[in-house]
Amino acid sequence: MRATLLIAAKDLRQRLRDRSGLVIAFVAPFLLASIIGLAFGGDDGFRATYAVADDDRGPLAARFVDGVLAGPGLAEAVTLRRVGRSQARLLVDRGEADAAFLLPAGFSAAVQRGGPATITVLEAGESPVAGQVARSLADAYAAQLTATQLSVRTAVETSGRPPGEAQASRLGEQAAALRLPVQLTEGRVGVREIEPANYFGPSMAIFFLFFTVSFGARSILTERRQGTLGRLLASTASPGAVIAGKALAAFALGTSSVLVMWLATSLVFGADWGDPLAVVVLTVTSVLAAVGVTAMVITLARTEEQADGFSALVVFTLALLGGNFVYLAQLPDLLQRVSLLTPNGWALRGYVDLVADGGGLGTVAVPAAVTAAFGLVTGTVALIRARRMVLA
Amino acid sequence: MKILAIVGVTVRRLARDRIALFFVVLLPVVIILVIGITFGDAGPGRLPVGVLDQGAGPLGAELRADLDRSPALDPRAYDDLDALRKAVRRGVVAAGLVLPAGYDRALRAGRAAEVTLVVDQTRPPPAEVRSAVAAAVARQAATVQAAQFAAGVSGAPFDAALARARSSAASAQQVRVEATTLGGREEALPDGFNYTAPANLVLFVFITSLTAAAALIEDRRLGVTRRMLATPTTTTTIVLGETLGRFAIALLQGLIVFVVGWLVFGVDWGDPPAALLLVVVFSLVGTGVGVLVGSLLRTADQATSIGPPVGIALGMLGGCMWPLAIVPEPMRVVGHLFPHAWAMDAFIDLISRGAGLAGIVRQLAVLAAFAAALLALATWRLRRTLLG
Repeated sequence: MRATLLIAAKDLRQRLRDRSGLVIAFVAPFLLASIIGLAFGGDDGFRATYAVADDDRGPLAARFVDGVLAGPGLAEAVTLRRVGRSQARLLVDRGEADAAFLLPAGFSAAVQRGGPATITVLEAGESPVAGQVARSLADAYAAQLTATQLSVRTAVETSGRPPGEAQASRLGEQAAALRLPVQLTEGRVGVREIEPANYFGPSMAIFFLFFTVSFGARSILTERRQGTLGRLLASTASPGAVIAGKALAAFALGTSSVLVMWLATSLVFGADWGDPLAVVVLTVTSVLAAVGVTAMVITLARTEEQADGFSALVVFTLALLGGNFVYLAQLPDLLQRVSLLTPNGWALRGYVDLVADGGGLGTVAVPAAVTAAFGLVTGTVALIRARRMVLA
Repeated sequence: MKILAIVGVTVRRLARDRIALFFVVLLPVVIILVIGITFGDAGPGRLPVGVLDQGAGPLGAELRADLDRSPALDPRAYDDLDALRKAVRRGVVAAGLVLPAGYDRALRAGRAAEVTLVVDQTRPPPAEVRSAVAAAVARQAATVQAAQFAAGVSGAPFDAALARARSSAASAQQVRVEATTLGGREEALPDGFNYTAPANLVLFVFITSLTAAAALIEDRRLGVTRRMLATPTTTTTIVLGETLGRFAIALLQGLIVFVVGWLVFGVDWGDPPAALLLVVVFSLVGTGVGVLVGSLLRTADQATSIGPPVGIALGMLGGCMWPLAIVPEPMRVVGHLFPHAWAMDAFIDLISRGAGLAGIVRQLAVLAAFAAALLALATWRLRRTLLG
């Protein structure tokens, strides 16, 4: 026991003295999670500059310009420039406006007559997001106008006789005041909202965990090459104690790297990973899986270079398949199912469920059990191979 | 001649290292393939969308049928909210639509109703999904509004008015939205492989240069450089040889992705000579970084373990993982402190905007300045390390 602890402490000291160990375990994951968080979670919200050319000067164009674009809902986010048609195109061309709306002459009259009409949206290629927002604003307004037209027409047809002019315009006014009876609202993916820091924190911690813990098994190869392995075994330490010491060091560094990420994202970004006990349990099982998988792969190697190659290969493959980087919805079903074969996929699932669904140990029971099983199976194979390596 | 011998040794060592080759040749290709498919032009056909009907009645069924007809969506039924939310979170479906209980009853009674689109804010669905769902909802909303209105005005029963509204809707002239991206689609960002191929070219030239620095450290540790110095070889020759060796590796990595992108993934590099020049200049930047790192770090392990995370971090900042057009302005500014963003800007101009050599002169100049500064610093450092 004492030998195990001594070896673990020695390995940890050695690893931390090499600054790259610190970088991989603590600095890099936090840095990457921060970059992603800042790139996608900018709290400054959406801002855009739109140009609008109103050649119609009728009531329906005015309602779009004053009621929607310059309306209270968008006042904070949208800077509106009212310009002429050619000027609007120029502004988008030069990148001074993110998009332009063109309302053609006779627009209001055409809509009120029940005829076809078109709102043109010009988008700047450089601002895809602002362009999409512009298009959906125009789409929503067009849908409202279409519904108004349809309402008048249906009312006239249902009553069975052509209306007089006064009656027709009264119907038009009434219909224009209606609000679409079905609204599409946006819903959350869980009981609680998933924020970037809550998602990318665990995601990056898991990705780097596999790099962090690989030194454990690798150091057997290093010590064998340097001849220190023989000297360790010549002392009172048994082969089992040596392996246990190395596994313990990897486990300790891996666990602390995830826990530091938890602490750092909580302090810096106010992230909330969920029930602390569940976080700790899932972290322990995930680290077990990472230590087991990397050790199993590394014990297949004969030299350190091979070990680096094998483990990097496996780690990148797992990251790609486990969904740490890729958007799974667009992959074929088969690949989606493959993510269930990866321990990092399960770990990520557990952390995200904990954030989204709340709850405690029950929420992470399955991911924790699966990652623990991964750890046990791969760890056992690794132990057998490592023993053979140490004794050889 | 001696310089070329040193270069030859560097490249031969790489070629014999089968695992290194795997990372230089196969990994970029696999990543381009996987990511390229996911960011493809509207993806592989229809995108899966989960639909949860909580008892929305006949009008809910009508909306579901409309979604089924959409060429952009592949609706899949779910039975409970928890399962739907999990599916969205896990990316099994791109978004989830919830049709609430009493939907049909509320609308028939002349009241309003809400349908909810469940989306993951951390990984938002492609725009096509949202607009296809919104369009289907808007179509139903219009006919229901018309039926409610006509029933109210004429006193006819709702169902009769709804039937009338449906037939009118089928023949009605609509208010349409015509959206164009200025300059045609060329102005927009490249999609699919046309984005991931240059992005991974930039990413991997940099990462490979960083990790190849390990060999430089090994040379010192094993005494290879010391033995070279013992022969009648000047320090300048060794510095030049080692630097050119790193350049050969960086360029090789760049050319591999360039050729594979062109032949296998059908990437249109725009103006090929200009693109090749860009690859050469960016390889010089990578060379500078590689030699600098190789002369600063003490162990080869440090280089191999720092390479990937640093390379990925800079790639994220520089637009190799996602286009910088979608990040907030401050992040764009920070990104342009590093060479990656300039190289990506130039590739986008070449591939998507039909720019030629003249169009990317500014980016090339900035990259050349990066390369010159890094190379000057790196060779000075390496010379000192060799002499010291």
